[in-house]
Amino acid sequence: MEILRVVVTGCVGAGKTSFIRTISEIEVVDTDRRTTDQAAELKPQTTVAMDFGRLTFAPNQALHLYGTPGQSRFDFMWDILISQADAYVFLVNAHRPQDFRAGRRMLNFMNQRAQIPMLIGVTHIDCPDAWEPEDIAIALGLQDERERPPIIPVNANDRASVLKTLIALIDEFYKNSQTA
Amino acid sequence: MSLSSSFRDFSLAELFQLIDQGRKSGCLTVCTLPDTQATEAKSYYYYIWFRQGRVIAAANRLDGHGLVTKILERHWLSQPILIKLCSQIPTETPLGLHLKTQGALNSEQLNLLFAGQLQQVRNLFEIQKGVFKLDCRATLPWSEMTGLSVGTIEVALMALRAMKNWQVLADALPGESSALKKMQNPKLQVRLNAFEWQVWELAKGNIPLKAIADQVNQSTAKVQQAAFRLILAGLAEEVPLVTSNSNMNERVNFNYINPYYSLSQKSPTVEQSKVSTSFLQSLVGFLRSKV
Repeated sequence: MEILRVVVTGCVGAGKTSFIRTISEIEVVDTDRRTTDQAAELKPQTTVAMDFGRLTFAPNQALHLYGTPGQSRFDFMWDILISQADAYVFLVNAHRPQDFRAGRRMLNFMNQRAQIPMLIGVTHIDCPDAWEPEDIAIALGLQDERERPPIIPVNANDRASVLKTLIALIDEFYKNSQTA
Repeated sequence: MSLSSSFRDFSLAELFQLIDQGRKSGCLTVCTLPDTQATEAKSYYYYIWFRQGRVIAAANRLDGHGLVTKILERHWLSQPILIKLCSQIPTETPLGLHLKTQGALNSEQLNLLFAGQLQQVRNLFEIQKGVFKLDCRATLPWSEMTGLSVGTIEVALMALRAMKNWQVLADALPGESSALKKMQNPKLQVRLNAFEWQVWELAKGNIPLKAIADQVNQSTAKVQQAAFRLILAGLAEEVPLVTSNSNMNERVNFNYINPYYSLSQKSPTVEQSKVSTSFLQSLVGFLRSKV
């Protein structure tokens, strides 16, 4: 079985679970529990271990999607999932600047552990107070425009949008394998 | 385009970094929120103008009379003369520059006026509660401009070096168990002080900040603050150090996590998958067909 393992990561409430649910051919295996900290203002349940979704596109070929928890107290799961991923999508909520600092730390964490193809998916871009992708990139510590990963708007609940994001990620993966 | 938030969520220091690195122009409005415990609860407004990522003016009013008032307060010019000179100002010329060209003010006086504006800006870094909005479409405030400018990040560094209460930035500081790593191609556009240089020299990506504190014989808090300034200046980045999780990681087989993995296929060690070009082409073709 040939598998591409894609991790979907990012801050709390950025749309990781929705992203996987939107595209998975199977009922997503989740580990959602009642939110007990500040994130409760944002959503009643949160991922504490991982989400798992799958997309089979040929008899022996599949895309596996793993969603990480958003909270840093579950960073042992980030470590486990990212270290064995082939590529990852980092989701960030455009209208929650209070998450950018945590997002920057999370992104540093991921980059530290895995130099693999990735892209930034910006969600909630249509909200009134949404920040521009360019500003979000700087807030996430991605200063150098030339070395930035692709930054694309994503609607985690829209199938076409999620598919386009995955195509962009595979493009990155392909480019990376060509230069390697 | 505008950009807004509260200082609780995004600090002024981080905002200045964004303005500097994004080479922003426009007007930043800062509104301090009153302390609900205080008897005279009042909000105050401040305005800072930027051009291409540099601070060009600051005032606590929007009527365009801030600079004129400061000149009159210092008795450098009389009101009639100032009114006359202001009426002769060419379009799109900073007032300060015009007064200097006319011989009414000298360079030293302009420096002092601009330093006064910057002092107002530096004081804003101590604000504990407030909101901000950056309007990138704002026009330039010619009547508040001296004609001088300074890099936004330089202002932030000066303010942070003098900062007494770091409470507002407590969450923004790098963790004491994190390390600091030099950026690959840092642009050294700011002057560092001796202590910041010391910390930067030890930004090797593998020394926790608390260990750096021991080496330089300073408190961990001071090192965290210096590290934060280096991060703001774009010279270093916080690096979370590998913890005991790595041992845990070795024990966990990724395939066990996948509930659909066939037990007959499981292997004792995990291997990073080698994905073939044909696999990628097949996957992209499949995804495109579903869009």
